Amino acid sequence: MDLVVIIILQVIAAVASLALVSVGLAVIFGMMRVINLAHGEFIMLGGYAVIYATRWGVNLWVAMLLVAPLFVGVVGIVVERTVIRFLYGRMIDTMLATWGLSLLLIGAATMIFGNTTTGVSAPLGSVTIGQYQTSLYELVLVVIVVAVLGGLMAILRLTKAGLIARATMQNPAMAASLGISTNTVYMVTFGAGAALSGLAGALIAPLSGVLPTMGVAYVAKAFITVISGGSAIIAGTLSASMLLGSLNTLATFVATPVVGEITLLFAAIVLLRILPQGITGRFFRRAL
Amino acid sequence: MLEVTGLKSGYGRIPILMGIGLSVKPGEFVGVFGHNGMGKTTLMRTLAGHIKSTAGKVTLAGQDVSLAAPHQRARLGLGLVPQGREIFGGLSVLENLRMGAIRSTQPATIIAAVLEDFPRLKPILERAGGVLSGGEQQLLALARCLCGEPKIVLLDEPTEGIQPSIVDEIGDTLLRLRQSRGLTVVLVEQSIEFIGRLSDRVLVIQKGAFIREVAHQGIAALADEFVGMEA
Repeated sequence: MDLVVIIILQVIAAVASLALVSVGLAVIFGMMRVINLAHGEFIMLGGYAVIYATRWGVNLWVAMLLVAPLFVGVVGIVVERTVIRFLYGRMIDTMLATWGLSLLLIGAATMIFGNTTTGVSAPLGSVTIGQYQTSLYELVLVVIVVAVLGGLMAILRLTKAGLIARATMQNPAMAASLGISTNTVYMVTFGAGAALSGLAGALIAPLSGVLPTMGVAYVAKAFITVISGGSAIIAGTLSASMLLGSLNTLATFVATPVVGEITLLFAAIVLLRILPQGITGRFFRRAL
Repeated sequence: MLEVTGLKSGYGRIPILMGIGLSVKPGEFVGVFGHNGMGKTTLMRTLAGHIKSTAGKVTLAGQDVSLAAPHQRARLGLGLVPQGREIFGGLSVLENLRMGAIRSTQPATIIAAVLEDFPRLKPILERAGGVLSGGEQQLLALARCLCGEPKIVLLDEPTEGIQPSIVDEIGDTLLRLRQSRGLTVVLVEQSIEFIGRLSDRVLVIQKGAFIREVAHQGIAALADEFVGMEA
């Protein structure tokens, strides 16, 4: 019984973790149709922001929840203003540019921070369930991810900014004809997506450590999740994370982590073969 | 209200508008009539700022907007009801109207006032824009535009693909709005009957230039000349 509870908690944590590393990409791709291949490096920057902020005396939670998202959000806005905005509507060019940016950021991080793993200790200790223990921080992470997705949903559904973002996503030319500066919307959206990636990196840093090349480990999973989820940003990310994260974790428990990764990839291939538009292309069509 | 001189534009290297001149007074309803491919929609898209002009000048309420972006023109009072309606299909009817009133400090008041002129939209406020009929979408596109309280409305082929009973309703609504709000409109149309019912004068466009101006009384005679052209 204890083992079942632990496995369920691990599955929930894995789903939350997958949703967390994917949501920034989902915002940028879902709303702007920009394939950001530097997404993993935004995650990496979030991780380093936490490490250096805590070294400079900032409280760990403040560093994770405020400093890292703000820092990476500003980086995202600078990238959008200097690179991305010249490439809207040119998907291949955008991919090449963000790939180049990804290599640049990895190289710069390696030069500045060195090619070694650094990290911060996970706060909060562990909880005991029967003869098993699990990290309390991982459970808090689940709550934070639920709050982030819920907050994002509330912003998109209930606020004026969310309405503008949804309208611009659907028809930028018409939104402009109603007085909306689509340039500003794109800039803010890219910055928000980058900030969410930074938040992901910050929250993952205590669990996985931070390395200049760490983004590579997350970018593929994030892309698979976003594409499998379909056009709806939140419902798509959540549904794909639930499916792929659960299968990954269960296969890892039954066999090995490598089998878990293979199961995730295989499930995504089968899913996209059956539902080429992703989960929300068939289900939850009006969901956000 | 709107002054256009020597306006030229096109798509890439293909010129479409060959030097358009147009003057619209406040409260005036000006029709633009022509065959397919003569530059009617290009004119509207250029006036709205979606196609960059290559020459000429556009003045809106005394301000030169020749180089202004679409959102800047909208903020100066240029309203657009585009061809194909361009409803935000994933947003509800009410959200579409809220988008129209997005720059207003009193959006609820404005939307309530606009809905009085569009009673057909009242029972379907929560329905998604994308599932409405063509006629309902056209009424919504017009209502959304009016929520922005424009000084002038560019109305691009509002009868295209709409069933006749709704075309009549759109015509009635526009006439009523003209009287109640003093609406200033540039209307592009292929239906002589519709354009004749509404317009003070009609400009005939051919190969990207106005070749003739016809006063309201002479519009009916255009029907004989352009027989078989009605959409």
